[in-house]
Amino acid sequence: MASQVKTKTTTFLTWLVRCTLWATESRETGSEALEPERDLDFLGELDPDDPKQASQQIANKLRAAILTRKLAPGDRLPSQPELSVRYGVARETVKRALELLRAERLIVTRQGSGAFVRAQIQRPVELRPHIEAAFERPHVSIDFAGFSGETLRDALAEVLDKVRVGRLTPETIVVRVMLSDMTVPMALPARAETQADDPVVRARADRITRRAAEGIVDQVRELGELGLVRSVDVTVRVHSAAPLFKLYVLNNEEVFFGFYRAVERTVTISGEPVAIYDLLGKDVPLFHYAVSDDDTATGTQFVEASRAWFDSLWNSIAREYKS
Amino acid sequence: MTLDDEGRLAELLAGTGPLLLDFDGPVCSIFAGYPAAEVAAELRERLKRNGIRVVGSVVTEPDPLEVLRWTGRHGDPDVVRAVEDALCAAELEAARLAESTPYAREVIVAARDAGKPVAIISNNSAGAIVKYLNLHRLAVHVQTVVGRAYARPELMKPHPDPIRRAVAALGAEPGDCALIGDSLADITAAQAAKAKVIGYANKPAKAERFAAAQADAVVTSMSEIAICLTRFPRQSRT
Repeated sequence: MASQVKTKTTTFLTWLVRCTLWATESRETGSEALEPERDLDFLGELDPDDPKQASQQIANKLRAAILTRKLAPGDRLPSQPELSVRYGVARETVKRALELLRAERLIVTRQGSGAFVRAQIQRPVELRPHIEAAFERPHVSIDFAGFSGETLRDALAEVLDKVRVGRLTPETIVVRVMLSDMTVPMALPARAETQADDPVVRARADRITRRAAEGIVDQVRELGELGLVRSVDVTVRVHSAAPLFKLYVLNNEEVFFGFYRAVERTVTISGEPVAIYDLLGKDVPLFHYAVSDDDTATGTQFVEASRAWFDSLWNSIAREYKS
Repeated sequence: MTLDDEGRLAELLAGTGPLLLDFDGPVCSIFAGYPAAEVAAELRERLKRNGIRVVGSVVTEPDPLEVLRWTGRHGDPDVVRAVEDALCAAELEAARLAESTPYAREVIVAARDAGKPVAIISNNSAGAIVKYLNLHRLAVHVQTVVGRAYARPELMKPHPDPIRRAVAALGAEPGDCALIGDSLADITAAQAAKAKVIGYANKPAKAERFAAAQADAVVTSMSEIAICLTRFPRQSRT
């Protein structure tokens, strides 16, 4: 039993170490001629009827390949000439597509060696492209557990705009948001001086939480009310445990996980300066796990465990959120 | 605080970098739990045991730092060291029982968030200051602590030496630093070191005296400084 646990720990640590290395640093590339032949059929072809620009279409296909791990972290992307031949477009168009992915921090480029899939989704976390990719499916599900859902609200706002204009056309959307209940005593956030719960400090956190949660509910429900999506189900629940990490589960097959840090800052509450231990969530690195064909892979297991954890809290101590 | 005062404070904080804080007063009341008068009496006992005749105003002096200063003028180096050691020990004990100044923590944290290095400059001993900062989980926000020069009471504020040492440790220019102090000695020391100075008038009578001594700004609560600092753009933390 002990050895089994140790093996798993070791695997996880190895994985963490691997993920913290940049793809370009952990991989030496030889000349292109030495690369084995790769089956690139998954890259597909451009759709002449698609109103999107060719560069945008190429970026979408490459993004999908990266997010579904057909191009794995550390993999070299097909070269610019290869891509321009495959899609029948100018090199400039391919360049623009790669530029989009670079801006999303999905790939890194190295002078003379080409572009590589980034090994770790490092900060600033770009959740939005992943949520957008999730919305390309007919049945979308998003589970979030954490402090306020501000990041999710902001990412959803942009993606839902695309649903409104018909560029994304999911049939059903299920969103579950599970937050810490800031109306009951919490270990975090806290008043710094006393290291203890403080209703004044929590009331501030509650306002932030409410604004974000209600933003998520309103914008998702609106899609259903407008008849743009056949079925919409968005639920918020709260529990009494302090928020220490955040977790997103997208379509039950991708997880983003990040630790909140406790940071001290002085904020003004009702005109009074108050030093608090607050949660820092915006700039922390998010770790990305995805389901693969391999049942024993860390990604597959982490997604499975995350779903089980979420469901267990959702169906036990999480209670209805009163807005 | 009038709008004019507020503007002067904002201008001063915007125009300076490092924030230097006097310890006893702006950060805490160090002798809140271990009364200063008791410590002063113990130091007098120490003097008598060392064969020093304690006469004049020092007989009733309630401030232990003044007893130390008097010793510096009247005792030989051995006696000064004996009194210094006794005071250091008493201050360490006092630090444990010290009472935080309202909004001092807010000022220190907001200054750090505004990208201002924070230094503590005091006539109290560095050991006691560090102990207090650790007890209150504030050490992480403070870059430099400059305490009393060992057995050299003549270098205490109003001598500019402590401020000069802090400025040097921060690698700053004196004119780029603002000191917050609650005594005329702080104001004199800052002016002698050519640093800017904010008078913290924790007793009503002090405000006029600080203004007369030409402090660059005067506040009656540390919250005024904290609120001003929270309006500064937050610097990224590392």
